[in-house]
Amino acid sequence: MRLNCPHCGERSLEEFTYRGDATVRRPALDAPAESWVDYVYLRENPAGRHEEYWYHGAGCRAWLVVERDTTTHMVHGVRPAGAASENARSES
Amino acid sequence: MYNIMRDHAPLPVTGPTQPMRLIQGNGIDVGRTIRFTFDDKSYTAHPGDTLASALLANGVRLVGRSFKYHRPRGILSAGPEEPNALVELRTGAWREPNTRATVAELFDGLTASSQNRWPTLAFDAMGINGVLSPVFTAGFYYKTFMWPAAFWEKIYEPIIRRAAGLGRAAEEADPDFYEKSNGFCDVLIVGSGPAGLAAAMAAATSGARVILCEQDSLPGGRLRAENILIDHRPGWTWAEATVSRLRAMPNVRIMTRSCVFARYDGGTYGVFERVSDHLAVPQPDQPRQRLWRIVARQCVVATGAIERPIVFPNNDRPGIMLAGAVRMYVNRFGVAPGRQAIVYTNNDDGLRTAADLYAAGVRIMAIVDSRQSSTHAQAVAQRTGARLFPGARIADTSGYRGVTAALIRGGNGKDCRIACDLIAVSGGWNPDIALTTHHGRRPSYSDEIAAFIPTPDEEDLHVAGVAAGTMTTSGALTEGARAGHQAAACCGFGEASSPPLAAPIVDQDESYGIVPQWHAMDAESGRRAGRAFIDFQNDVTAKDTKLAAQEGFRSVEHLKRYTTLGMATDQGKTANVNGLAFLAEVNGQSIPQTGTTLTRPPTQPVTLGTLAGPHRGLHFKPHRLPPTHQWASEQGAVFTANGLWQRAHWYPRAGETTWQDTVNREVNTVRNAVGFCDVTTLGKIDIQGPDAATFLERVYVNAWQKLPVGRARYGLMLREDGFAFDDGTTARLGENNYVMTTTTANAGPVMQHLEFCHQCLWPDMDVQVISVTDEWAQIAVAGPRSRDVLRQIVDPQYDLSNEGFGYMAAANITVCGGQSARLFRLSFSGELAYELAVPAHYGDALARLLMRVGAPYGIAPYGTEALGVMRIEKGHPAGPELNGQTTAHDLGMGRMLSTKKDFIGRTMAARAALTGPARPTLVGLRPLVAGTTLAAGAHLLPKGSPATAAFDQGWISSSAWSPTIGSWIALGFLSNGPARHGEIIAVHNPLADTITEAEIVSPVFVDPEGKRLHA
Amino acid sequence: MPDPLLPQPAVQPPSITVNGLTLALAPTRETVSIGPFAKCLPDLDAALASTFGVTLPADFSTASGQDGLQLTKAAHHQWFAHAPAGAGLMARLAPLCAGLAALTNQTDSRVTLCLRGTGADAVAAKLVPVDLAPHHFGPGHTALTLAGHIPVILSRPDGTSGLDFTVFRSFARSLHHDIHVAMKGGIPHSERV
Repeated sequence: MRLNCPHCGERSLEEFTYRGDATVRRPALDAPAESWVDYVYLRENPAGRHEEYWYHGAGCRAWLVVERDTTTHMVHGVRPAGAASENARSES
Repeated sequence: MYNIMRDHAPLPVTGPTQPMRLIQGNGIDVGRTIRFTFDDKSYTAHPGDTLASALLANGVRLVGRSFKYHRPRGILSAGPEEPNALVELRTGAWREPNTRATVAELFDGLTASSQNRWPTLAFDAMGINGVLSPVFTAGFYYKTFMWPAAFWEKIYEPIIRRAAGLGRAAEEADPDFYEKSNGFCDVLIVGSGPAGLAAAMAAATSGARVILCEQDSLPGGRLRAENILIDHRPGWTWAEATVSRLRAMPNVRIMTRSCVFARYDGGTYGVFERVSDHLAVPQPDQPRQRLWRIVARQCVVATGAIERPIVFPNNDRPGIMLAGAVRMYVNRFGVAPGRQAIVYTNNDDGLRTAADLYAAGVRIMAIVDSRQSSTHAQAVAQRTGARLFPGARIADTSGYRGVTAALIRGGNGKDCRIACDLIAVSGGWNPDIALTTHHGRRPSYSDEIAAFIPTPDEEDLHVAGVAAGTMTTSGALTEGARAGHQAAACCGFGEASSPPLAAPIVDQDESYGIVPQWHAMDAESGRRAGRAFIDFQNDVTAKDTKLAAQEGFRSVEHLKRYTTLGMATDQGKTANVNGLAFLAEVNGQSIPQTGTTLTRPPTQPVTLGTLAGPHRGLHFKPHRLPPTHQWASEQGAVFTANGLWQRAHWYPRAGETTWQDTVNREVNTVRNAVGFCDVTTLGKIDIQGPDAATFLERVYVNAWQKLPVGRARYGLMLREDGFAFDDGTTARLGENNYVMTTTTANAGPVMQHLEFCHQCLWPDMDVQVISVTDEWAQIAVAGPRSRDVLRQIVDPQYDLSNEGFGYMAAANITVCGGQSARLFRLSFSGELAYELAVPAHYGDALARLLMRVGAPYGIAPYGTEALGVMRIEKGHPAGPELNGQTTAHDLGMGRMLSTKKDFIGRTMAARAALTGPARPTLVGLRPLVAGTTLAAGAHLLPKGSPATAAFDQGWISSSAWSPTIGSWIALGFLSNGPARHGEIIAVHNPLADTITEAEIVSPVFVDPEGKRLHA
Repeated sequence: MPDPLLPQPAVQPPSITVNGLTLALAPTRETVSIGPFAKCLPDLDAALASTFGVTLPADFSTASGQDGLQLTKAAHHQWFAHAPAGAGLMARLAPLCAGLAALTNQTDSRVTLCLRGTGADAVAAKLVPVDLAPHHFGPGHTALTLAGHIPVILSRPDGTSGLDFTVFRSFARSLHHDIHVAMKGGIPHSERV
């Protein structure tokens, strides 16, 4: 399996660490307990396209959001997580 | 028509040493002779031979015994699909079992032996299994050994292991060296037959980077087995010339002896290269085999096809071979596999074997063509003088150690017995589609060629030639060129629309004309279905398959698992489709209705040594060495692994008889004088930025905003689920500059966690983190004399007094006359202690200096064992306490959790179940008798209660002999622990089956008031 | 006051030769990591450009400036500044980057092993899972990747044939061993060197 890191280019699996669902959002501190239980424990398990976090730990140390089809392993897109690239230059 | 008929001259040709050797073969060097032994008997052969061709040249037909019934078996095929001829190669540490003789390249001095026979190959006592074969039918493992369970381990399994099985692994460590490598290309081409070579030439000509992999030692594929002219010369010379032209192109790499065994995701392929298996011994340092990972943007699969047998009673006798394999032995290896041959076929291709055998001087006794009428068959029979049996089948064979006759049942129902020593069988060809199914893509069934063909819809995969079901050489050349051209165009080379190179001219288009006959079983021969083999390697018969279907195992996936059909090391390459056809017939379904199983990598066996590569023994994983490693080695330190780090465990001295003596001395040295220990391995993370303090507040449970510059603080991190993750001290070195320490084990995970928090949770925080673990050699100097020692090193302008540099102070300083350094007043041991950090290059010099200037104070280095003893004495939690199942409350740190800010884990840590007093909570334990060992992992029970789970109240996490206390001591987690100090409790060690008693005490055994710490 | 501390190299011996390839420890150079604070990159580039005539490279490559300064990308949002030993790099960068970027001394945290000679790429390919073909990885290119199991910054220096492996100091001996073994294993038959 290979991922096209937006910083480093296409790299092989062993440079990355999988974390899981990238669609969950950390609740506010005063959110009800149920929201926290959902955030910490509940995960969708879709058959098809899914957004997940991967960490390019052996490369540029960027956290990435990978859109992957769980049924075919096809990778449909990779982008930096969060807005950590706010300082990124305008040129591609 | 078969226009390349050479003269028919009777055998033998070359003389008594290799009685079945012909004058020449296109893949051997008859000018040179080499020697080998098989079952201790010496033979000769020629360079270019495989073990199989050499054995056949020497008239050896019986080479092994079958797995279950120990039936005599010979050589079926001429390639990697071989199910029968599995042998042991070499001896001693180099002995390798279950090697296919058909792909074992011969070298001078090779020692080979048959396997799965006792006492000898010709007489095998276990052959009795064949007599008992009714017992061993489908599902026999499931049925016979169901009950009673206790019998399995003691009786059934040892018997089965002795009776069934294959070769013996070497008993010594593998002496060879293996390596891995990475390759990249635009177009990967698998196979160097006509389709593969045409594809390579087309792709390479358009400028693409091409890698051509050929599993064989020679290029050409089936061109080496056939008498076919390409561009007016023998096909195999065309192949060699084409390879020479490709080799001369700078964008082409050609890998021979390299099997593409897997197609992984993202254009990644596994390739197994046999670097020096064809040599007696690899050159020094040369790898025996190499694992390649090749990344290709496009792939052309030109893997050809695998011939399948026809199932008939006693179809497994030595001398019964695949028809295409026979041509390979005749034409490539110059070997006649018999003198009197019967050809049994359901297609025109099989007839070519009769023609080639005849040209080689073999007498064609009969052609059994299952088709009713074939003009081809008539022509070949006439030309070779063979008796033709149209619409016929082979109903049985005879011959114990090799076939001696066949019982032919003619189309008219009459039986005829014909003597022979070779039966060449062709049941048709199965395209070798394994690689095309690795992504789960199911093949489709072609009625035209009665076989499964690939259905690639993936953009980066092309299939060409026989592998795609194209049965002519000219078709393979055209299709290969088109595939190579398209693949290159997909990579941006050449024009997709421009025509590919003109295909070479082939003298003839092979006819195929298959009319499937899967098996020769009828009502009469059905009585011998138990001897009609579908899967030779796993001894699965027509009877087994029928029985399985009758018992309800009608799905092909069930059939496979119930009968073990296709589950041997050959993955059923010659068996699967026949088994499927058989099942379809029993079920009254078509083959497409019945389905097919997919294959997984590897397509061929890959040695474990190759998968491991150079990562074995000491080099299984890399070692991280702290800066004082060299010095510690010189001190005679004993090392221990801490993750990847190698750390000094203890430093033995003369006169110390056990490690315990050494550790006791090291602990006493620290408690009474001064010791030092390299703590570089603790993770160190530099954190800077306007939001650095806020960031620390979010990742630690406690408060950080008010920590002054020049001070350090203990911090605890939780996971978001509220359980403890890691701990350590973080020092503030500047207004917006902190250095965090982590445990050694969690340095990487904490870094990853911080990056996650920053990039994914709070990307607006302006903070920068970077590891400085390797930048600083950090050495703990601990003990009542530590300040005296440091005063010898630290430059005099720095005040080290308790007032000037108190507990938890941190500063950038200089040592040794201006060398930059960092000093922290931290203590893991509970003594007056410091951690001094210098740039890593100076760590070695610092250790040597400490030894010198500390000598007057009795200094000694201490290792991680003494470190561990002292932290238990002081009640500091470490890895065994931070085990992922404990909370801040459990660790006695519940009050550290801030209620004034958000932090990772805050909400979930507050759950009632994680804070209840009944949760096992950190306590100290002391045995009632000082010398009684307390073992980590032991369970804590109320005194006098039974040692059962119902009474379990906790466990011991860490224990040690404390030389300071003069007793065994332990840390543990106990329900309602803090309220129970003074209580006597039972300690149950289920491994040693002991129950002892211990007193519950405070986890801080030494200096509970902290006087030493603050001295 | 004791004598000054003397530095100890991470790997010994400093250079080995096998099959015409050499593996040598590069001389220590000063290294400072630069982590730009939020929205500071333009000002930081301007400051670096005015003093050293070079800006932080956007891609994984090495940019050379005045006074021997080299800038190379070391993470998705961090760079390494390198200068020859004795350059006083931190002292020069600190005023320039104050308030614009986190500066962290990394001089001792990494060492560089230099593989030189015919076939260096084929030997490196045994360890490094990135495409080393000249049009993918030419002079001045760098890649953050793995050599076997060890994280490295791989770079192809200008002007010499070969590759540099910059590695955490604690891994240096293991990496040296692994490269040494790869050198001894020879050049695969299929490789063009």
